[in-house]
Amino acid sequence: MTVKEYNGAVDEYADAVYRFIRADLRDDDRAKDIVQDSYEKLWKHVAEIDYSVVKSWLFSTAYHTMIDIIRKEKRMTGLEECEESDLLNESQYTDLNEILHAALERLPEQHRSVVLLRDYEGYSYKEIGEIAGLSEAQVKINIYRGRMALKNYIGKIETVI
Amino acid sequence: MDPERTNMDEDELMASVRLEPDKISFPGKDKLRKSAADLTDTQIEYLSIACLEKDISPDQLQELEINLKENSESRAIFDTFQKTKLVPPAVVFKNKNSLKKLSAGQKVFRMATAGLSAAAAIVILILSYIFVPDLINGRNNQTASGIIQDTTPATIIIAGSNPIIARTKTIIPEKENSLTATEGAIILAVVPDTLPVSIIIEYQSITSVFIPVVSGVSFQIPDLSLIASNNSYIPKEIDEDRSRLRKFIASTFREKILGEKFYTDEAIRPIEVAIAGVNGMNKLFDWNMELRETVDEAGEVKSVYFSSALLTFNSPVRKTSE
Repeated sequence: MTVKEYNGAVDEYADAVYRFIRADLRDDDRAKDIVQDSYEKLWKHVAEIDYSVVKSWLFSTAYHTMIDIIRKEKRMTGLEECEESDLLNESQYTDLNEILHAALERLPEQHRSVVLLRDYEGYSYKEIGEIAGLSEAQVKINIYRGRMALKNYIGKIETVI
Repeated sequence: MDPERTNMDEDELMASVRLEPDKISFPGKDKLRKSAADLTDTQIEYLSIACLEKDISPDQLQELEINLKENSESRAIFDTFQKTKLVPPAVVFKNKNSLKKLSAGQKVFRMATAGLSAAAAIVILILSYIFVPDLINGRNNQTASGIIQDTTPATIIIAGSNPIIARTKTIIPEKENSLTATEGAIILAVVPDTLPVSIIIEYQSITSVFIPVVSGVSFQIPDLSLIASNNSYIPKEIDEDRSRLRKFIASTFREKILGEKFYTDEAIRPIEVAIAGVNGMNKLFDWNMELRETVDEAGEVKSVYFSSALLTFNSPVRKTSE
């Protein structure tokens, strides 16, 4: 990859990687740090990496950096732990997309990431598998479980409202 | 013993003991058959997700559609799943420029561009001060006698102890060399003339005032516009007084230097000059400083925010009563 291609990758993919990490972490500052860190790593390997794979490389690097952070903090929370009082607080959301993103925060990390990669970036099962280090079948199962959890959450919210 | 003969006997023997299946069928077979309408909720959930993910075969899709037509509960499940599709927010990564790597030539070009931009800004400021003396002196200290030389149609305020902004639609020529403002107001458009004339303006407690005007001139007087008073009242500077050049400079500054898509030609404020300076330094040194105003719900400036690697502050703006 040339310097020109590297800068092209900044223009083309920095926003998408940032959106993905930000939605996953719900933390602007750390999302910025992860994006910068990912591009620093890319720059270190700029000569070795082909431009055709740079997008998935960036997503994969950012994803694994994020996973490391999450594991350190042990901040995973199951949707099943969701109390009705929480739902009452969240009934203030008027926009469905806001509700979905609130629900997304409660999903197990792996479910959340695959759903985000699928919906935000339109990646195939295979591409998501390459980024997250999962088999296609695992990706499919995670998406299925993630969607089920989101659907149940929406159902609960609608019941409360 | 002949081995072939032996095999034949065995075949015949086995044939005689072969069991033939009975010609009966399961009586409840029809009950076992299912139609698309019989799909369970779990299956509908699975198919709804598959449909959302575009991972469904044409046959499955057809069956799902049949079921949805006939079963409102399935339709509700399907609709809920369609809502789980996330829409990415319109966020962008602001520090993109800091990620980019420049070649030596590009760095020189960027520094040259930034330098030229700074020089252009300075030239614009100098020119604005040369060609727009109002920037320095303004009209704040002008008195009625000074402004009276102005050829701009104007409203004159006459007041005793308190300035009064009065309005009148007409000024009636009464005599050859005089005009009288009517409707109890005190308004006059003033044009210098070699032949001094005067009008008498009377308004209740206000002392009569004599002001030289041109006789026989038809005036178009904008309501509530003000240029002068017979006391030390200081008129406000108004936009209409700004020259085209100043407006041009202001709009060019905003368009070219601040890079605003939607810009006005209002007077340049110090904060805008400061923002331009910060942007210039960011370009020049590849820094990531940020200077911006924050506004409240009414759109008024609430504070000034500055951020850099060394210092970050958010300074509230002190509001002065007018």
